[in-house]
Amino acid sequence: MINVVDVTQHYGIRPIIRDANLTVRSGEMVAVMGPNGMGKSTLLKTMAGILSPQKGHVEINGLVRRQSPEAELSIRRQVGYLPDHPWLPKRSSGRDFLLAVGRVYQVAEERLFDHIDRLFGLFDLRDKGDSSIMTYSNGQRKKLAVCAVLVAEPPVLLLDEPFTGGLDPSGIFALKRVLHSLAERDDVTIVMATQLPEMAEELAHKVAVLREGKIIAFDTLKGLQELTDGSGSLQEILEHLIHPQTLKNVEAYFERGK
Amino acid sequence: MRILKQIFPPIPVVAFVVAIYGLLCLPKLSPDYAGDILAVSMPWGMAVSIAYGFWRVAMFHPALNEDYRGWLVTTPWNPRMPLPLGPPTLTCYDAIPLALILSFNAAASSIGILDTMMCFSAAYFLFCILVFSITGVSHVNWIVAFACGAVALTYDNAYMVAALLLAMHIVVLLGLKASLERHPQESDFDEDSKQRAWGQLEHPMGSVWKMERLSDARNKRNAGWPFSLPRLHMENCSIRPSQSVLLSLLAAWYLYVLVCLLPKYAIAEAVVSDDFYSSTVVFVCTCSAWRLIAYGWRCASPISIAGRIATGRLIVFGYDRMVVVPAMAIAAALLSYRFLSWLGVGLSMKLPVVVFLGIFVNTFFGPTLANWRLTGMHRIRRPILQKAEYTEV
Repeated sequence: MINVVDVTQHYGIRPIIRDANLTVRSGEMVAVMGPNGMGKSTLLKTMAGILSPQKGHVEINGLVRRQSPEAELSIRRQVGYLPDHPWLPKRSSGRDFLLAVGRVYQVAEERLFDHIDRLFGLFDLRDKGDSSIMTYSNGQRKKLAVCAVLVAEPPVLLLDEPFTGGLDPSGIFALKRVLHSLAERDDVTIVMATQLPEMAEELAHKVAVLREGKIIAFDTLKGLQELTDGSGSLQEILEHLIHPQTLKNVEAYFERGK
Repeated sequence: MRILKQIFPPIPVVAFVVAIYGLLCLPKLSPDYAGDILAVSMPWGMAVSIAYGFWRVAMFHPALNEDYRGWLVTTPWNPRMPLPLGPPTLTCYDAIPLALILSFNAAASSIGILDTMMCFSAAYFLFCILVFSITGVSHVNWIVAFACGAVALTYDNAYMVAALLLAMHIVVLLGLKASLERHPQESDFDEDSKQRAWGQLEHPMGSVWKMERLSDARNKRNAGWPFSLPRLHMENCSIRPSQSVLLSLLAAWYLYVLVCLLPKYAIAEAVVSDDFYSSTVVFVCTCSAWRLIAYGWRCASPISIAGRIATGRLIVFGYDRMVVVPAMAIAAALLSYRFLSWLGVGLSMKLPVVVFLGIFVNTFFGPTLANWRLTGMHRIRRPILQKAEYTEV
């Protein structure tokens, strides 16, 4: 379970996140959505402990981030964070990299070896598994980064734009299935920032909508539809919530064209 | 005789050393250069003494030889048995190679018995310190380090130096035995013990050799950003209170020895006072700067200076508290010097106290580095200096 309590975060003068409150229950998948620069990545970084909020705090499975060394270490082992730009060791092979990540997260060796093989099969990386990462294409690197966060087997996943960065359709399909299964079957708590409404619509139990650093809506798709008095797609709901003027402008454009 | 054969350097190596010495001396044999042989023999004699000290530990202690260590855990060897390749501890058979070196030094150069033994012991102790650090027998290191200062202080008194060297060799002998006692043995552990000894797996017992730290570091390096975040060993990046006290005392002790020795070289107290005071203050400031760098490394301020000014949050205590202890250390050093001067305490006591306080405050007071990295109100930075090793997706 993730609890974001009154979090305010700013690097410089302008607050990126303002008084954000969010509760994600175990086994729930939440999509964080909003236009560029509205604080999606910052919110995830705060949850991941990369940033320390100026106000408020983040709780993961009952432990408050940065409160005590023991709690923080325990949280770090429970959380897998995929940033928008992960760094991979160029000279290592994909397999060595995943082994290292698994060991850092203290995954049992036998399960680790087996899981790596299955992940390579899933993401079509079998042929590249033992090659050095510098020979990977961008999409393959993204797949490997996704594999790294999955191989750690943490009960909480924080994924920043997991479906972008060159993933091919089969990779997207595989990731969708895996995330769905992790949330439904393994009770893994997942928060992902995404720009793709169709992904959120298909996968997420709830959607948090960010506008100018504030969470302006956090509900299920049905709840959001009720909130906006409509029954449209998530794309339309987002437009309604974030850019209410856009829909009117579109309608006005076609009205005047008749 | 078997032990002598084991510990004596290989004959080809000895022959090579002698041949090189001969070649260097050959041009000096002419009557015109007769006195110059000493210029070759002296450094050569010292180098051979040092090399033998190095040889006696580095070649025989399994902690310094990964292949040997890995092989040992697959054998029934235990610390009560002699090591198969020979002992790293000094034995009576060492008297023979040492006697040869002493004879050479006495005959061909002007290096005395005590100086030869000091050269040999310095190298021997240095590698023993390395072994003790690896095997977790670090308390012996402190004894050796303090005793080195005592040797320097009593350098004029040959009997005292000899007694100190003997005492240090006894302590080191006990330390080496303790280090071998801590060797992981196959019978103690499960089937992973071999891998553990090779540093591939983390060992469940804290008392065995700390080889897993190497593998931790390797895993952390290989895991990349930010997948390595969960691996932060709290014991690896913090100085314990006892270490802090000992480190401060050791630095103060060395400075005391140095200040005591200077009058012997006819350096006036006034010169010492001015120069050493400034150097000591610079040293304390450097310690404080080092602490700041260590704490600020990859731990950026959560908010920029412009942000602080604009929001009126000029001080973010959760982050800025890292400056308090270094500032306290500098203040303590400066004030203690003034106070001791006012009391009329001599230079040989004043300066060590300043150094002691400078190091002690910086290393003793919290938060510890591990605590800080886990609980400080900072922004975790990516490892920006490792771009050559990593690729960004």
